[in-house]
Amino acid sequence: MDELTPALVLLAIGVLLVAGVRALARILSVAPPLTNVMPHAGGLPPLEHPVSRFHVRWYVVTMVFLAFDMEMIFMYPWTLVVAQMGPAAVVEMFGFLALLMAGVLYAWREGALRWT
Amino acid sequence: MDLRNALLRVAARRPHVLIIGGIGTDRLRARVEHEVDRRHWTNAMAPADTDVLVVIGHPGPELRAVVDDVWATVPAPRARLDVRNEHEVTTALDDAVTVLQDLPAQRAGAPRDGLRWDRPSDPSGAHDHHDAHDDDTSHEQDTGHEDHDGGHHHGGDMELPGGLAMADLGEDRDGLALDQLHVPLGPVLPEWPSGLVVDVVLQGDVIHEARSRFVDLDDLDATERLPDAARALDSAARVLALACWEGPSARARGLRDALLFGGSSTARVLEELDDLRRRVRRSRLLRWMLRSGEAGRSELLEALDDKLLSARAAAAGGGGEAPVAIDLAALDARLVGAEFAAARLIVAVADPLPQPARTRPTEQEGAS
Amino acid sequence: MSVALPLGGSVLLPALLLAVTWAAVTADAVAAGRAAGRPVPWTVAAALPGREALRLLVGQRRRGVASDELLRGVGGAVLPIAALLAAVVLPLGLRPVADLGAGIVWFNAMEVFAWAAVWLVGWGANSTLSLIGGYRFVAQGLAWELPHMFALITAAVGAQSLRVTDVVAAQQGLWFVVIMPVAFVAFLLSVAAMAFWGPFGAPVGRDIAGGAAAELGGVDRLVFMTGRWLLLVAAAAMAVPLFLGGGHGPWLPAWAWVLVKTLAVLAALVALRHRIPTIRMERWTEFSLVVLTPATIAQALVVTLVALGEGGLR
Repeated sequence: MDELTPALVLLAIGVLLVAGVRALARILSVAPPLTNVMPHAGGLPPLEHPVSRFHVRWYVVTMVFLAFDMEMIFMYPWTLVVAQMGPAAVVEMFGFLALLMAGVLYAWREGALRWT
Repeated sequence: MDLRNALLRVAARRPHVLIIGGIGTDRLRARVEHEVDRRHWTNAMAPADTDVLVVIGHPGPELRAVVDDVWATVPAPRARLDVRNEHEVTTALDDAVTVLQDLPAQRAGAPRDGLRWDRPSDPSGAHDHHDAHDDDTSHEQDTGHEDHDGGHHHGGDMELPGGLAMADLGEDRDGLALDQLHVPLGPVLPEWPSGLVVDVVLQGDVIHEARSRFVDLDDLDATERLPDAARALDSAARVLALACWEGPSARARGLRDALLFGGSSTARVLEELDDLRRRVRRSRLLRWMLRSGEAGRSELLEALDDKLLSARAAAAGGGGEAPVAIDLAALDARLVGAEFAAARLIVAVADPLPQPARTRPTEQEGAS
Repeated sequence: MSVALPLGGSVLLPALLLAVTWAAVTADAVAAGRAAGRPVPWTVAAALPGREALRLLVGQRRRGVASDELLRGVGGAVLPIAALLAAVVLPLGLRPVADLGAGIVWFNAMEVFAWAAVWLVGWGANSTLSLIGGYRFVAQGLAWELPHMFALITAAVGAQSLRVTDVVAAQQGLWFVVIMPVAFVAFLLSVAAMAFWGPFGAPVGRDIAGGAAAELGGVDRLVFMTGRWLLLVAAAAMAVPLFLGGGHGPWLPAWAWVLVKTLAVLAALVALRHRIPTIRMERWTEFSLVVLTPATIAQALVVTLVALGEGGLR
C-alpha cells in the first residue's frame, strides 16, 4: 500500500488540476456554454441522432486481440520466473504464442484482418 | 474584467479560420488561405475550433442558410466576415482580430442555444429559437431554412431532442440488418470541393449509398474557374492533406499560390513542382495508404501523380489537357462501399466540376 | 527495495511533464513550418502552446443536442490524468515518484485508459464524425497494443523484473536498445499510436474534421488536447528507462540524462512525423498483426534465450 501512496497523491493532483482548469475557464470564458449544438457534418442539419449501433467491421480483430490479451496476463508474471524455471518455461510460453500466431495467420489468410 | 480583456487580446492574435464559399470561389479561397498561412494563423477543421468565419464570394440562398447554421454553432469569441473580392482580404482579417478582442461585444453576441432550425411545433424550443435570432441581427434568418425543413424524419409521433429521429435499420452490403445514418456531407468540410454536398447513408464508417450534388447550382453562370495548373495543384494539395501529409500538402498549396498571385519565377515553381512530384512518387508509405486493390496498383496515387504532372505541363505553358469533368453519378458509384477515409480521398481525387442542373434529377432534398 | 522519491515528487511531476510538453509542441510547430516550406519563427512557435491554451480558456464551451456531457467530461479528464499516472513509475534520474513492483504493468494499464477516454469523447458528442473518430481509435488500439505489450515484456525479460528501476539498473553496462532493437522500434510506434498522434492521427483526422475532438470547444478541447500531448510525452519518456539506459551516462547527473534522452526521443518522433503521411487503420491492423507482432515475439524469444544463457543480463 505504501508503494501506491504517491500514485494516489498524483491521482488527486490530476483530478484537482483538471477541475481547476475547468473552474478557471468558467471564470475566464467570455460566455456560458453554448447548448443544443447540432452535430457538424458539413453544415447541413442531420436527419437522425448520430448515436447509433455502429457497425464494427473489425470485430474479428477484437477476438484475436482478446486471445493475446489473456496470454499477456500470464506472460507478465512469467517474466519474473523464467530464469529460475529454465528452458521448460520458455518452450511452454513460446509454444503457446506460436499457436496463437498460427491463429492470426489463419485469420489473415481468410481475410479477416481486412474489412473494406 | 481587465485580466479577461488582456487574455482575450493575447488569445485573439492568431485565430483559427474557417472559410466557406460556394461554387466558383476557388480563387478567392486560395487568396484567403494564402493570407492565413502568411500570418501563421490556423485553418480550422470544424466550427467548434473556429474563431473567424470567412464567407467568400456571393453565396446563394442554400449556402447562405448553411452559413447561418454553421455560425450558430461557432463558440465565442468569434468573428464573421464577408469577403467579396481579393482586395478585401487583408483588411477583413485585420478587422477580425479587432472584433475578437472586443470583450463587451463578444459577450453580447455570444450564441446561447444552437437549435436554430427548431420546428415551430416544438413548444420547448420555440423560445430559444427567438433568442438565437436576437443574438444575430446581421442577416435574414428565414430565407433558407425551409430548404432543410422538408426532411421527412421530423415531426414524428415521438419528439426526441432537437427534433431528430433515431437511426433506423437497413440492409448492408452483406445482407445484415444494421443501423443506418443519413448524413449530408459538406459543403463545409476540410479539403472538400467548393459547394459540393454528398448525401450519404452510413453504416458504421462505411458508405452504403451516396448521392452528390452542388448547392446553388443556378448561379453556375457566375462561376470562375482556376487556371488549370492552379486547379490541379489545389486538388493535389487536398489529396495530400487528407492523407495527412501536411508538409507536401502545404508545399503544393504554396505552389498554387505562387502561380496565382506571383511571388516566385516560373522556373523556380517548376523546379519545386518536380521536387514535390518526386517525393510523392517515392513515398512507399503513401503508396501503401492510397493503394486500393489487391494488385498493389493505386488509382488514387496515379490520379495524384497525374494532377501534379498536368500542373507541371500547364505551368510550363504547354497548355496541358483540360481537366476531365467527372460525372457526379460516377462519383456516387465509386463512393458506395468505401470506408470513410477512402471516400474522402475519392472525392478529393475526383474533384468534380459543377455541372448544369439539367443533367441531374432535381429532387435533391428528398434524397436519402 | 523501494527507491521512490519523496512525496514532493508527485507535485513536481505534472510541472515537469507540462514543461516538456511545451517544448514538444514548440518543436512540432517549427518542424511543421519547415516541412511546409514556410518557416515559423522560434518566437511564434515558443508562444504557441500558451497562446492556444489561453484561446481555449477564454473560449466558450459547447454542448451538442442530446450529447452525453458526463461521458464527454469524464473521457476528456481521463486522458491527462492517465498520462500523469502512467508517468508515476518514470525514474526522474534514478528514482521514480512511485517505485511499484509491477511498474511496467502499471504503465501499461494507465496508458490503456486512453482507449476508454477517446471512445467516450467520440461517442458522447452525438456527432457522426466524432463517432467515427472514437471507433477508429479503438480499431487502431487493437492493432498497436499487441506489439506494444511484447515490447514491454521484452524489456522486463531482459531485467527479469517488472520494476522499472530494476530495468534501469540492468542497463548499467549495455542499453537494452542494443539487444532489443525491434522491441524499441515497436515501442516508439506505439508511443505515437497511443497518443493518436502523427501517423496514427486518424481518430482526430482532417478527413473527419477533427474526429473525436470535432465537437469540443473551449476548455473541453484544451483538456483533451493537453491530455493527448501529455500522453505522448509520458510514453516517449518511458522509452528512456526501458531501452535507453535511463539515467545512466557519463559526465551529466542522472536527471539530466533522462531529460536529454527524453527530448531526443521526442525530437525523433517529431522529425519523423513530418516526413510521413497518416497510416490508415485497416492497413495498419494487417501489418501490425501479421508482421510486427511476430517480429516482437521473435525479439522476446531471443532476449529470453540470452537471459537464460547468462542467468540474467546483469
